[in-house]
Amino acid sequence: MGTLRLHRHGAPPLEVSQDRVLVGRDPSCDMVIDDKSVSRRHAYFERRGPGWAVVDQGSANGTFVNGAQVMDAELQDGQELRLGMVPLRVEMESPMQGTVLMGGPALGTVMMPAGGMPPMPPPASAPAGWGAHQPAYAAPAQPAYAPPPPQQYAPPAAPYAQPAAPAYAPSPQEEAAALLGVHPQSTPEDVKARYTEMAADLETKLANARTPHLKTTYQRNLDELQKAAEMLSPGFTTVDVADLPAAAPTVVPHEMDISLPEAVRMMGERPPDADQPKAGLPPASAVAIGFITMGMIAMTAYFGLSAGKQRKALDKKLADPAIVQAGNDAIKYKSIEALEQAGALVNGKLKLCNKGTQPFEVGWIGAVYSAKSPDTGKTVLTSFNSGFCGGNDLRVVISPGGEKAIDISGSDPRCKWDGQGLFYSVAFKDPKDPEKQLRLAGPLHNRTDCANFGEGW
Amino acid sequence: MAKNPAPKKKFPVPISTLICLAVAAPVGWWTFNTYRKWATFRTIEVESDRKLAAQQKRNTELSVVYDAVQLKKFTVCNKTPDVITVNWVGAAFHDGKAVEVFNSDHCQDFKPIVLDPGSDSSVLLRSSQPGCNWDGSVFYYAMRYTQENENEERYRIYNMVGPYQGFDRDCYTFR
Repeated sequence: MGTLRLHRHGAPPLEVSQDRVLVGRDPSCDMVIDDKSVSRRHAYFERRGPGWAVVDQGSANGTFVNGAQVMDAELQDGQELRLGMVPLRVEMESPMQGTVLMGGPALGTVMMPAGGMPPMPPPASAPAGWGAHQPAYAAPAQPAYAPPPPQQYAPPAAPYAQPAAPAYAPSPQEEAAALLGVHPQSTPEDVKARYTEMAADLETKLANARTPHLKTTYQRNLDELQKAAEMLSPGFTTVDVADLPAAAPTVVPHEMDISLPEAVRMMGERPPDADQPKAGLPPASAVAIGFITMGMIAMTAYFGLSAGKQRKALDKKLADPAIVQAGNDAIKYKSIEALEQAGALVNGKLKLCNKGTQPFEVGWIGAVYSAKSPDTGKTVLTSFNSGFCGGNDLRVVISPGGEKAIDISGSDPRCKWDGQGLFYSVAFKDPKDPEKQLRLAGPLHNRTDCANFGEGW
Repeated sequence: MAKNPAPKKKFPVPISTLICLAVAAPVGWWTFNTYRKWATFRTIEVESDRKLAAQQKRNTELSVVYDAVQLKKFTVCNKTPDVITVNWVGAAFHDGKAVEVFNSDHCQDFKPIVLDPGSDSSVLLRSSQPGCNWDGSVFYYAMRYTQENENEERYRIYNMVGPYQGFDRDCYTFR
């Protein structure tokens, strides 16, 4: 049995001699690599036939062989292996320590023990056959042995020389049978039954796969299963079987009783409890909805309390004397809204128009007008009375058909009026009787037309 | 060869999620209703403030007009030792919508009002003549009156005008 050595820069090589060695950061591992990039249970090395394989255990930072990430890979001498960020060089030591490699005429390089050790006899025959339980990647056959021709003696091989290639490879039919778990000579019915069973299982897993990686894996398995079935029972499917998978093991979980290493099987599917939350913890969706619900309850509490306060404040406000007063005033003022809208306090210009046949002289003018109080700025009503005017301040004579816009500006401060007002009253001197007066009165608010007089006088 | 039973298909939504959803739905409805109530009160409160401010502003505007156009009954009171004769009356009054004017010169039934010293009288006219049936309501007035003094040879003539409620609220008083 050979030994696997893993050379690590700046550290003594790690030697693997057991059939299966678990490597990781955890002290309970068979082989401990104390590096943060290495998972607690990172991978294990497993002896496969004469060689070794590395099987990743779902490590966080992965396992790489010659730079390519692998889940399960057979190791070859001289390969660069990397566990997380820890590089290791693979050295596989032959059980016959100190072998030399010699070139063979037909089979290429053969191994020969150093120091004249008698050669091993060649294997009697190829493997006995592929039973129903024979693994798809059964151990390769022993390399054929040939006596070393002296003239072809080769110097001792480098420590990491490639091992000899196996002399035997199973036929595609055998591989297909192994894949399906049936005998190569099985009847089409057996093949179909087995295919149907395995395909149903794979399709279920494909449908439930949660990651693209898993979907790809399951789909690949399904395709290869179909090709294998087509190989064993032509016409079974319409699949092109030209590219039937090679001897490399295909990952088909569980049902295939072909002794796939556990880690290889697990590569194609999630861990059994991956979909399930850890015990005692609800799913993330439930947690999220729970948080949202709690947020809603908090908002409800806020809105509820705030609405209650608002309602009280509103009730208080509606009972506020200012609001009550405003309401009462509004009712009171309702009766004069029409007047206000008609401009009851908007001054209009007094223009007198003589519709009579003789001239008339104004004897007296009185008016009411609105003005802004210089003290308070509010609108106040005041009056004009030409009785305060001097004799010459009010000299207005309007000829027949004539009109006159009133604008009085006397010397007395009380004798000033621009003719803008709300209500006017005019007394004209009667041309026939100087002692008699003819009087006119009327509204002026918003008025622009003439105050007619004289007609019929 | 061992056969595994067909894997049982799982319901895609965990039961705990379903329970949470079942709780969240009525809570969401509750929250929405509470929010709606809160928003309604808030709207009413804001709206009520706005309406109050607008109403108060409008009331202020109307109060000036209201005071100006308040109707009173035209009454004259003679507080002088002389005889007062009201020869002519002009008055503005309204029915709440439009302003109307009474002019005693246009009314044949109007007779001068003679006020002995210390007497008073309502100024109105009941007449069937159009525009002359006036109940004495007034907010602007104009009048011409004479004051006769025994010691003077001539009587005095006065023309007066103004807002009625602005002077001796209940009675236009001759002093």
